[in-house]
Amino acid sequence: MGRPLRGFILAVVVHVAFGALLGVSLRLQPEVVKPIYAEPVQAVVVDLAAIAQEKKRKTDALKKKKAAEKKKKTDALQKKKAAEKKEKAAEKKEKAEELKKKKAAEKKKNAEELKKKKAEALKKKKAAEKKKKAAEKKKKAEALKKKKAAEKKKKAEALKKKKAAEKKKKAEAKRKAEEQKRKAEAEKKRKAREKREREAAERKAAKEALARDERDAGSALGALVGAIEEKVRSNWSLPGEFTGLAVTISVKVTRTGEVTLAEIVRSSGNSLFDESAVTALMKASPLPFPEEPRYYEFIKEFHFVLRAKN
Amino acid sequence: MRTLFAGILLGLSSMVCLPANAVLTIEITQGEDSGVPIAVVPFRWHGAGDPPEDLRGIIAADLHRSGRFDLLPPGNFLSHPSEIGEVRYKDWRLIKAEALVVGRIFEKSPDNYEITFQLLDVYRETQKAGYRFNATGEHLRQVAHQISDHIYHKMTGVEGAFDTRIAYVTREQQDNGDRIYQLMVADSDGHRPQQILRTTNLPVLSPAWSPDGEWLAYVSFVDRRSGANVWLQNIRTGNRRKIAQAEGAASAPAWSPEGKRLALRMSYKGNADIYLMDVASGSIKRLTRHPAIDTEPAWAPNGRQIVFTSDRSGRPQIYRVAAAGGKPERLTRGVGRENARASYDPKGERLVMVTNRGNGYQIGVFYMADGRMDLLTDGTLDESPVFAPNGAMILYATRLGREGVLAAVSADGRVKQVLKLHRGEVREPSWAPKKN
Repeated sequence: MGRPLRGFILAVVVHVAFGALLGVSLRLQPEVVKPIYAEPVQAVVVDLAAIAQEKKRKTDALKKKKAAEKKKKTDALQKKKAAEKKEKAAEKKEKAEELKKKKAAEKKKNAEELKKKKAEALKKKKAAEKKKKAAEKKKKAEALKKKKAAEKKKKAEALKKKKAAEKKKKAEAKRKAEEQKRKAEAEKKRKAREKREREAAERKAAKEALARDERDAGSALGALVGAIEEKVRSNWSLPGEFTGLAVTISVKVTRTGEVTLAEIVRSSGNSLFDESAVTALMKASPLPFPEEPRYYEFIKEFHFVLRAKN
Repeated sequence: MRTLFAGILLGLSSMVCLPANAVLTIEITQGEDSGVPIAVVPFRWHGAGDPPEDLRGIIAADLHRSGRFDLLPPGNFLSHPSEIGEVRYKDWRLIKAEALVVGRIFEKSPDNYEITFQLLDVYRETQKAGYRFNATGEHLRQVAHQISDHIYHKMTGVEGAFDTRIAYVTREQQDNGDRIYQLMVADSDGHRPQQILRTTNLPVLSPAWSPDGEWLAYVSFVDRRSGANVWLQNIRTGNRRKIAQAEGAASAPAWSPEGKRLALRMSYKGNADIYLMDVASGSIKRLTRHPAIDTEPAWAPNGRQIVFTSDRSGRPQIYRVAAAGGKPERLTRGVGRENARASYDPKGERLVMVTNRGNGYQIGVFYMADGRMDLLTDGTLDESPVFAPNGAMILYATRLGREGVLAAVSADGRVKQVLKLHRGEVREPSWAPKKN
């Protein structure tokens, strides 16, 4: 705590204390307490002796000694107090003076400091201004520079951007072209695939139809071939043992099963065996023939292999 | 059949997908054996009275006996042509004849006949064979057999053996208790039998034709005390000679293919072995030497091997030994409990023999190549089998009721026919070679 503050607090305390001692009617003048720069406190002197006398007169003898002692005490006290008061006053005075001095010094100091401060402030201000100016200048320069740089940068960026944009545009165009191309290809592929699928489906359908036809033809022809086999076999007589021989005969038949050709295409090497096989086909004519004319195609010409027992 | 059928279906299915040049193929395997259907039209007789011989009957019987033909019954014939110009082939196709035989007999003068025949292919409408013969009445049967041979040869590719002779032995019990043995020679169908030897109470056994068909070797006895001996007898002249008079018995003669040697069973001191004898010089060479009985030798057609029966393994089986000598090897294994009396076919590929599988004696054909045996007969006492000179038939002795008879069986066993020849027992047939 600074010294001025301490002095002020002290003054107030003393003031209040005296006020309480005096009791009523005592009105304290409102004081404006000014910090630091306030006027020093004026102490009020109170006549304590008169009070004490008044009291003494009213008290009995018993109380005389007491009073005396008290008086003594009080005196002593008073003295002491007075001394203390004096001392205090002196101290106070000293303090006040000291305070005054101090205040003055402080004032002076303050003033000096203020002055100094002002000067410094001024100086500072000037420097600041200068600095500010320089700064501003610098700032301006920098700003300019920055601006220029920015502009340059901007320009460059713009250029760059432009270039990038152009590039992008080009890329885009290219991409679009490619996209288009890809799309075209995809389309082409799709169409090709569809065509393939369609063709496959058609083929499948055709194949199925063929298979169905084949099955029908297969069973019809199977039965027919079985009947042909049986008829030829039952008409085949061998004039001997021809173990291991086989002959292949090309056969042509009419729509009603008449054998119009029975020609040896692979001989067994034995003319009797070959002849017996041809005879068997001739004897078996007319061969069983298909009821459905369309099967005639399958049966109108075929090879017949006749094999001897093993 | 099933697999065949499946194969065809497969063939069909694939064919449907294939281009048009793929051809459906149907395949069959020969069914049950059946003879070639043949129609033999009765030969038209151009002469006075009844025809001297039923040529058609002789030919039909020959062809039937061979097992290669199915003779169509004359009752089914729609026409009766006697030469190619008269033939309506359609008539014969209708009854499914493949071959047609037509012919005629002209009586040119008493007992002088001209016989013609034609063998026709019904489906090709062509003549396969045609011949003219001149003969007296006694040769008409032979002419018929020759016609059969032509037909057989043309149709099967194998020489016929109908115009051949057979020899056999008969035995008759006389009322007085004597047994009469006869050595007989007859046509291959058993007709026209001729006696060439007759003995009383002295058995005649094992006749064997010489390869030239001039001689018969056989076993006979001079008297009841001496042993059996082998004799040679000329068929034409009736001259005969004893070729082996051994201390022991000689039997079972077999001619070598070149006709110069005989293989024989000879017994010295009770041990029977196979010997070879030079016919001209009578010199003898021993071929086997074994304490068991070796008998019934037969030559391979190449003259280099001899098969014989031996019980050296305990029961009779067939062995083979080189004619030049050597160690005999057993041929019949696992094909019958007993096998005996083997002889070769003309190609040397098969043996015909008597076989016993535990239920009597039957005739079997044994295949040299694989040691397999086919049973041809189903009798209980079938014996003495011999191949025909063309290998297509087998003659053997069997029993018909209480009689011993000869029977012929086709080599495939399909057709059997008993030759009714003679009253009483007939046994030990031998088939003469075919004369060219």
